[in-house]
Amino acid sequence: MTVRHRPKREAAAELDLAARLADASVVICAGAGGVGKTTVAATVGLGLAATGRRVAVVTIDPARRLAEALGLPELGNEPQPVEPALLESSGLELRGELHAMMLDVKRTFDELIELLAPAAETARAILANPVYRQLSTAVAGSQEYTAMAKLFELERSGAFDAIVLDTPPSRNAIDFLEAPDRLLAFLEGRAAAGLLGPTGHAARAAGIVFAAIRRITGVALLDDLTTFFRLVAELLSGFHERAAAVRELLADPATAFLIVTSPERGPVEEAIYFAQRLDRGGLHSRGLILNRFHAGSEDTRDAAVTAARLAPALGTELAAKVGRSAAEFEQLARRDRLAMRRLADALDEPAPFRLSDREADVHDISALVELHRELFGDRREPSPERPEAGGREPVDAKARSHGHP
Amino acid sequence: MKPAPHGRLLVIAGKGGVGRSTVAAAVGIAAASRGLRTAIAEVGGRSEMYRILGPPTARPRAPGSVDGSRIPAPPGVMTDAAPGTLSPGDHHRLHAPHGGAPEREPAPALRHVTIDRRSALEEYLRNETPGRLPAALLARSSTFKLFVDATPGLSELLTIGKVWELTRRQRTGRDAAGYDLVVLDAPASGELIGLLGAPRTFGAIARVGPVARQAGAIDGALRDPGSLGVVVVATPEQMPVSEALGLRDELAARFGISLQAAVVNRLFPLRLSSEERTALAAAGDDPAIRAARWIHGRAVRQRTQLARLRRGMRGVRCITLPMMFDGELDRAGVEHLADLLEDRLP
Repeated sequence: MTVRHRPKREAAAELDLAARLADASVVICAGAGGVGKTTVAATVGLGLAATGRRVAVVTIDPARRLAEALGLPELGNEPQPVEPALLESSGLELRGELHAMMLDVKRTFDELIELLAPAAETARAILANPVYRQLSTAVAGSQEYTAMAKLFELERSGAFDAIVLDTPPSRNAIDFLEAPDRLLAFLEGRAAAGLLGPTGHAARAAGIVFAAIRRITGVALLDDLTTFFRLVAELLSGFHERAAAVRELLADPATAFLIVTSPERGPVEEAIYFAQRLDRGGLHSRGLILNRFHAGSEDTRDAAVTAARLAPALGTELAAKVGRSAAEFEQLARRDRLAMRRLADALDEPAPFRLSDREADVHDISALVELHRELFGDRREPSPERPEAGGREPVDAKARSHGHP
Repeated sequence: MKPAPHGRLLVIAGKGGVGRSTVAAAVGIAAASRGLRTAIAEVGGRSEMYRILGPPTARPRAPGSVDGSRIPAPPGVMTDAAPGTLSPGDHHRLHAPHGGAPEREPAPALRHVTIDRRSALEEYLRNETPGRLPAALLARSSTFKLFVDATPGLSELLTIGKVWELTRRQRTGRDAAGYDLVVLDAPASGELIGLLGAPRTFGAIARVGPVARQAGAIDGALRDPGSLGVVVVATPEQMPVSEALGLRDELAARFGISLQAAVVNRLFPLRLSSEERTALAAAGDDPAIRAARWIHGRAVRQRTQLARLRRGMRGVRCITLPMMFDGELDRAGVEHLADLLEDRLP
């Protein structure tokens, strides 16, 4: 794989997110589990569609969250258009198109087998094989693998200007990059070679091992495995080409990774680790999104000071409560400032994008539109939500460019 | 606690980012402080537990110190691993909290077990290989490794098999008794379903042989409420609650497992009356007042989600834990949560 260098960070830092993603045909949102990748993916899709592009958002999560947020009763395995009127009613005009789908792992895998099998008969035999039936659903990595297969298929179809991919909900972000290779190594035939065609000394040793395996698991399993690999052998060159093409697509300069994290320590460290891995692999990060950020005020750190200050206006009792709440909020804000600094230092990323923690959950279109405004909009004008969380560090373009040493 | 034929497995499940590891650690500490021999198990990955329970030191444990009673003071948290199965870096002696000072009260041993597939496989082979082929040879065989990788559900089966083995009174290949309670810090919901389903996944493709028999036995045990409990953790927000409810449905539909409890983590304090809220709404744009309004607003919406969870859980006990604003929890914070959980969990 050729190692390509990303655009200079200094240059990238000056750009807002829409500009950073202007030439991206694939956007992959990656990060630890639970940081809000799905929501960010939907928001980014919205942002690209608003600027006139035809966008497909691919979500992995079985929780049907994106469908909920986009007002679709259900998301299928093919992109469905989101009703523009729905967005307009929330105050966002789409100049392009927004489509959304939810990955169906088994169906995508089946379709890939049908596509790559040289004969319909081979495909049918594979789909009916017990080993395959488990492989396509139950095995770790099949989600990641089919996600990439789907991404590739959509990209090649030419039906969209940009595809935004949410990544599977694993604990570690890096699984997304590693799991498909594990599965591919297996399908590409190393396992098949080991189980099917050992010769010479290897055959003798393998014979002993097979005897042991038979004793442990019975003959039927070994027969199913052998059959499976014999069948899959006919598809190997197809898998091989596909894998190489997917790797090329991931390394393409038009493929942008967005690293998403919450301010908690685990996800922050995961984001740093993932960014470094991307760098080493010659892949391109176009930005870091710090989600659920709290912009506080250091003046409210001490509950008693705040209570004393506000007592004349609010009365002692209410002022004490406000003092406590404000001090708690500032504790969150302080944690988030430290997270920001840690990310900026570790990743040489002077301008992580911030999305403020919403008082409410993001599960409908208007909340999504508000997030869009924060991530893509004119940040010099505060959004109606932000003053709630507001304070000394407004989440605006200026702060992002200059806010951190 | 009266001796049972085996210990109990308590799976701590839930969406990523809701504090599953923290709750698992708190449950483990609470159980250990009640005198139960407890292990906190997690599967692969880079461990959150080390951070929560204290820093690891790479001091390999001497063989023979597996039994908790033989560990000299200070009794702390040990990583349990069969000697020789993990690299030295994987052996962690986790110090007692508070700068590693010895705890004065003799706490019962709480152990931390990290299970990875490779060592689970080797251990399995060492203990279970039928016939005369030496386990070490088989474990080294690349054909065998390929076989394990290629067989759907087999490595997951070995993993859940290892978790299960920790609960046995007579543990295979050891003189030590098993744990009274094994707390599994479960992987994300999808992976957890794969893990719990592994015995059946495997059973569907290998119907005979010792592994299939063992898979059947584990599968049976997983359906016994006396053997397995599942606690789901959620924060009181839309998506984590949806996922918790979804997990409950899926566990019931696929395995016939009912949840034992739901832990609702990070509940914000609701401290304003509606009159006070009205007063604050009119109180202007002070940063402290804005922050108090935000905290209150979040707290109110969390109550809506909490109510939704309670309704959806239909009688499953819901235990709430407060939001800890002062940063991420260290051992002391987790012990505080453990106190809150005491007597409310099995």
